[in-house]
Amino acid sequence: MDNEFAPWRDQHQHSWLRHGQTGGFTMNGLTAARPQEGAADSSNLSSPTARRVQIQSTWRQPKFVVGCALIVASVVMGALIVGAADDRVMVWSATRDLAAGTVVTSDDLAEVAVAMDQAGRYLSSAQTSVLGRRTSRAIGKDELVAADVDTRLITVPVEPVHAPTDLAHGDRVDVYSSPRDAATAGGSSRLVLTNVLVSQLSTDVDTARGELAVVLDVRADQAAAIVTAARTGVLDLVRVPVGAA
Amino acid sequence: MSSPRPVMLLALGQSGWEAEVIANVVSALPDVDVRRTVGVSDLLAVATAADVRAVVLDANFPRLDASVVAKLADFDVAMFGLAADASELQRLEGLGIETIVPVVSGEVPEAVEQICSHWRHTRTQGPVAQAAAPPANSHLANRRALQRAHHGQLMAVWGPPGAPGRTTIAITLAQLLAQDGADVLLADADTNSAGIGPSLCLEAEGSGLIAACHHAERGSLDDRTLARLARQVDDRFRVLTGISHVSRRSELRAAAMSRVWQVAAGLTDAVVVDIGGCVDDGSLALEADVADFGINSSGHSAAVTALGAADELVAVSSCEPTSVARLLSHLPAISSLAPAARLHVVINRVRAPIVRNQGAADELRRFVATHTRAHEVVLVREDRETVDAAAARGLTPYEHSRKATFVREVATLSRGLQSPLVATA
Repeated sequence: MDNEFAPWRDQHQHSWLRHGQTGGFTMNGLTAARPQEGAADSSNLSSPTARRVQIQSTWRQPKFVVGCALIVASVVMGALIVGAADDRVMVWSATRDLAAGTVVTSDDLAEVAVAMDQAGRYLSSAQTSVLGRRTSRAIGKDELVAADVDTRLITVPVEPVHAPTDLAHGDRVDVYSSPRDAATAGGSSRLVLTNVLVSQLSTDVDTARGELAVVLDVRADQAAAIVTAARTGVLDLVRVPVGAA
Repeated sequence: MSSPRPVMLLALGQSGWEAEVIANVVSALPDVDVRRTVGVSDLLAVATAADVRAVVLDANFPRLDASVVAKLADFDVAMFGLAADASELQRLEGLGIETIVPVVSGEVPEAVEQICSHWRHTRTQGPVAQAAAPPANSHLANRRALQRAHHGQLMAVWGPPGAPGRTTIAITLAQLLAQDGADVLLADADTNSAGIGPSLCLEAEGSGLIAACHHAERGSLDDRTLARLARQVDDRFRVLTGISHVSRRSELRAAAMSRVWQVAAGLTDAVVVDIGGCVDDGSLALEADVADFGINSSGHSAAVTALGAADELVAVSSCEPTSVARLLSHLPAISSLAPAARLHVVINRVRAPIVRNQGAADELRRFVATHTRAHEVVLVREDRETVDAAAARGLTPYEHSRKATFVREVATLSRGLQSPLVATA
C-alpha cells in the first residue's frame, strides 16, 4: 500500500509546499488509490475499433449470388422437367381438306408434334411412303393423319344404273347384293355391308360390259363378304347421305 | 474612505473540515475579506461584482465544472484547490486548477498556511513573478513536461459555406498523415452538420465529442479517457465523432472544449479538426452573457476553441467564383480566431481546363495567395469519379484507391502540413 501511494506522496513532498513552512506530508487516512499514471500511459491509450458498415459490391452480395443461383437452378430444373415430359413425336397433319381417295402430295401434309402416348394412333412423319398414295377417307384441314387401319381395297363391278350417277371417291355407300338372275334364283337382295368408303371410281375399266369398276375400302375381315357378293350376284351401291351414321 | 478590502472566497463542499478551514483562513489573513459561498451561481455573482482576488475550491463543491473554473480565470482570480485524496487531485487538475493542496483531517491548519503563504507570495511578487514561480507541484510539472514533449499538431480544416469538399479533404488528410506514421485523431467539430461518421459509414453510436466534452467539464478527461471515447479506424487513425443532432451543440462549452483539444494534442501526433462553414465566436451573444455569466455555448464553441488552439489552418474552397468569394469574405474572421495558425488554402475541384492551362493555374494560385496571405496554396484537381466510386463502396477515397488523382493531390497538402511534425519528431 505504501508503494501504491508513493508517487503521489513523493510529488507533493517535492512541491513548492515543501519549501514552505511545513515539510512533508504523510498520507494517513487516504484510502483512494492513485490511478496508475505513466506506466499505463503507453500501454492503455488505444481506442476501441470503429464499427463500420460494410457496403459490398452488388455482385458480391449474398442476396445477389443466391438470387442468381435460384434463377439458374430453376431454369435447369424446368428444362429437365419439361424435357422429361416432352416425349413427343412428329406426325403428319393435313394442310387442307383432303377428300378420301385424294392422291397425297408433300404439299398436303405438314409435320406436327404430338405427345408420345397418343402417337401410336397417328402416322409418323418418318413414313414418307404415304406420299403419292390415296387417302382412304376424308381428312379435314389440320387433322392429324391417322395410322392405317387394316383395310383392303376391293374392286367390284357395278352396273352404272345400280350406283348413284354422281358417285365419286370419298362417298360412303351401303352395298346390297342381289342374285345375278333374280328371276331364276328367286332370292331377294341382301345388305352385305353398310357405310363403305368408295376409294376410287373408274369408268374406263371393262366398259364393254357397261359396268363401273368401283374400288371399295373395307376392313380386312369384311373383304370376303364383298368378294362373295360380287361373285355370286350383282351389286347395288346405295349412297349414305353425308352425316348419316 | 478606505479602499475595499480584497476578497477571498471559500467554495467548499460537504467535506467536514469546512469550519476548520474558515477559522484558519480568517485568522491567517486579517486584512482580507473572507467570504463563504454555497453554490456556483453565488460564486460567480460575487466574483463578478466584488473585488475577488482568490478562491479556495474543494473538489466536492456542488456543480463545479471546467466552465466555472475558466470563468473565474477570466476574472484573474487566484485559485487554490483542496484535494482530500488522489482522485480529487486528479479531478481538480482536470478542471484546470493549477495550484492544488492536499488536505487530510488533522492537517487543515498546515494546508491553509500553505495556501496563504503562496497567495502572499504571488501578491507581492506580482503576476510576472507568478508566471516565473515554481509550478504548483512536481506532479503537474512532470505532466506538462510530458505534454510539451509530445504535443501533437492541431490542424483545423475549415471551409466556407457551400460544401466545398471540406470533410472529404479532412478525412483524406488524416489518412495520409496516418500513412506517413503519425498517430492521428480526426475530430468532427462541425456542429451544424457533422459529416465524418456518415462519410466513414460508422455505425451510429453516441457522439465522442460530446462525451469528451462532458468528461472535460467534470474534470475527468485525460488521455486514456479520450482514447476510449475515440474510435480506431485503421492502425494509426482514430475518429472522435461529432454531434448527431444540432440541438446538442449547446452542450459543447468553450472551457471544456479547450481542454478536449489540449488532451487530444497530448494523445496523438496530429489532431485534424473538421470545422463547419459558419463560425461565430459568440461575441454578439449578449443575452447569454447576462443570463449565465457567458458560460453557455454560442453553438460554435467547438470550432472557436479548435481554431484558438490550431497550429495549422486549412481553408478549403471549391474552385467556383462564389466559393472563392465566400472564402475571401469569411477568412479574415476565421484567421483572427486562429492567431497562432499557419494558413494553407486548398482550392478543391479544379477542372481539367484550368489544370491543363499552366498560366491559369498559376494565376489562380497567385490570386488566392495574394488575397489570403496563405503560407501555401494547394490546387486539388476535380476527381468526381474517384470520390463517387469510393462513396458507392462506403469507403474513403484513400481506401478506394491510394493512387487516385484526388488522393495524390491532397498528399501535397499533407506534405506541407507534415514539416512541423517531422521537425518535432
